[in-house]
Amino acid sequence: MGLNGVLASISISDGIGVTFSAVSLALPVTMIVALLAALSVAARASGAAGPLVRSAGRSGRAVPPVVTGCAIAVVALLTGETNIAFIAAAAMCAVCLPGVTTDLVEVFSSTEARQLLYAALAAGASPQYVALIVHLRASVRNVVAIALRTAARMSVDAGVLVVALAGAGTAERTSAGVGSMPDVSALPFAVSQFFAAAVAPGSHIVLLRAASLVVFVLVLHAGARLLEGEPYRSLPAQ
Amino acid sequence: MTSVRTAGQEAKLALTDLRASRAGVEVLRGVSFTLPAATSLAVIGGAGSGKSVLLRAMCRMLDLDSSWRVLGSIKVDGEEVLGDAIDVARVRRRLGLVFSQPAVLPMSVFENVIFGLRAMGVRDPRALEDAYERAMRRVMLWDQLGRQPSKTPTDFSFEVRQRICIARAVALEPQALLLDEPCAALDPVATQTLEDMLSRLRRECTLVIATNNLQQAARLSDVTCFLERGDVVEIGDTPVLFSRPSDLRTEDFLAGRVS
Repeated sequence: MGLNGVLASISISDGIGVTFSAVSLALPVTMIVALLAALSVAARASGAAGPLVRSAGRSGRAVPPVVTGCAIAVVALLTGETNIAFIAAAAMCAVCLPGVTTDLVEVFSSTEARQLLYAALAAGASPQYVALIVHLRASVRNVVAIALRTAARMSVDAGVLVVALAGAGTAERTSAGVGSMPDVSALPFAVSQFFAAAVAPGSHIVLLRAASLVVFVLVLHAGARLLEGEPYRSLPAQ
Repeated sequence: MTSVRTAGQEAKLALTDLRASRAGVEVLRGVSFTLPAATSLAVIGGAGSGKSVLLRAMCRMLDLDSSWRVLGSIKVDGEEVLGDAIDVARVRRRLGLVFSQPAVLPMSVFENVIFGLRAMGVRDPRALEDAYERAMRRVMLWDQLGRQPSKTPTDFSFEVRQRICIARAVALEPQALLLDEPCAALDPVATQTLEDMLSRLRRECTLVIATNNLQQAARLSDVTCFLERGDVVEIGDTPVLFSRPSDLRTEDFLAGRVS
């Protein structure tokens, strides 16, 4: 069976386990690091690091995922790391961290958030206390929504990154005389669906696979949309 | 220094040559006065005169923006407030600041009122309940809301929210309460209700009220300070300042003559 035959036999659910592992590794790490950075900026507890975090977020957003992915692929090859979920998770952390941090900083830096910050500080609270008790409480739904959007992005972007990784790995195995057939069922969900669609474009199953990917991402975005609201909405509308 | 201290009374607040500047532009130019306990001071002046900056400088809120530089001396009960070694959170608890917009926190009425105490580390439920009741009585909300501590403040009017904010400051038993245009977001009826509450509060607590409302300043204060571009033009007993201002600029401002 050639490569096309293998890819065509991918089932709709193939790769979900890998995607789940990669996202469940990357998402908590990304969210925790981004939250700490954003809260410290919002609570003015980061000192000189605040502007740095903001500008790093803005700059980081401009880097295409594939650039970060290729960089991670090179590192993975050099270090000999072969766990595809782990590599994808590391890549996702690097790709998503700046954007997520910037999103959270924006949530915590709205006019309403600043008013609450000042009110809480005027009551003698420390910036750290305000960050945990006021900011998180006021915007917990938005934080979860950002997490869901990030999960959606990771689920798709992981595919793009793994294409680079799989390509590099295949080339390496081929040059070493090892069979070059990738284990497609182990590729992340998005990649396996893309591959399957690519090798059998006329098949009705292709539509189903494309639809399954779109539905998967839309469900995450819909969840985010449902959750996110007006943060700090305890404040009066003027 | 302008003193409004009366015989036999200790100075609760003493400001000496207080200067505040932002990015090299001086916004307060050497404000000095002393204020005895249980006295209310109204700070009046046009936009940009430095009223809000004065209040924020007093409770170290300008520290939140590193572009501000504050010099001089502020003493509360003889204790210096300015300086790097000062516990800023303690200063803010001693000088409760209330903003013009009622910024209620995203939690229940009870949690809002005892927020500062919790932040201080008070955990005893009995002490917190006592402080809640005391504060709610002082802002005249106990009968209306006292027994509904789990309600959300956003269920209530602006005026009630503002009183909840004042209760949050009062619960900390501050040495002075700083009110930055507390009625700016309120209609005349709500303003009247809030003023009634503040009139009662001023008998037991030192108040400093920055306001654009001259009638309100006359009604609520014992002493009035007129600021113009960061300078104290005149400070003195409210009835005297309003009826016989000693400076032409004060007279013009009170008469609405803008040069």
